[in-house]
Amino acid sequence: MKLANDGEGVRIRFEAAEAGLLTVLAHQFADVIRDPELDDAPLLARLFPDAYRGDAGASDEFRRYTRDELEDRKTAAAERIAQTATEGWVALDHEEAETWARSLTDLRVMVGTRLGIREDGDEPDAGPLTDVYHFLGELQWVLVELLEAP
Amino acid sequence: MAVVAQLVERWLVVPDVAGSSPVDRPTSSPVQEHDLAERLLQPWVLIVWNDPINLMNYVVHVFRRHFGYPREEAERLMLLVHNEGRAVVASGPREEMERHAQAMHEYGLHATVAKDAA
Repeated sequence: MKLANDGEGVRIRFEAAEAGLLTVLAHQFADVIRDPELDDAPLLARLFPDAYRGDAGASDEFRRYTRDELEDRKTAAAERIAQTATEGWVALDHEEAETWARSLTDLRVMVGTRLGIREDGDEPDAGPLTDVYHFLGELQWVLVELLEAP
Repeated sequence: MAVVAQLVERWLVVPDVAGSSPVDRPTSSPVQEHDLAERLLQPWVLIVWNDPINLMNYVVHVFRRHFGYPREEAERLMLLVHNEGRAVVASGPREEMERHAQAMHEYGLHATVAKDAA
């Protein structure tokens, strides 16, 4: 994985395995959101948290009028990753890079929740999924650094 | 209702300055009364909570991009979230705070709306 800032946006060079991994994760994410059968309660609670602490009624109401739009926007962002991640150089304009950065958070939340990361300092055991988590973190970190670069 | 208490203090309490004549005392003008009423109706805040997954530079980026904060302020707020577990990042009318909360959830940050910082 290599990243570069070309003034117009961001360019990322992916290995085939990296691009394939991003595509699979993005599809998985969209599936979890869309398929009520999957009912991944811990993940959904992280993605759509209560907007009012200690007020279930107000939180439910907030969810009623924001949830659908949030689901649509999160799945659309994940699908952009699935569509654009390919082997070799991927060029993202500024807005698309922002969409990637946002969706990478969702993918990291999905993987991090599966790894049982609940609070600061939780270090997942070594393993393939932990490698995936760290790969996503590195990608997002460098992407954000490029977006923040003057 | 800490926010309301502070506002009331700020706007209503007349400073007890020794030797000051009644003429020197601030008098309430229609403008001030209007501001007070407006502020008392808007004691809502947006709180962003610490979480173990979001990257520090991403949180700064979101605060800059969404709220338009200068880098120093965005970094200060991010460190508050990181070190204190939460930070008030905006205040104003309830509807506006809910729109911010929805945007923060879209960014993947854990944000809540509350009537004050408590």
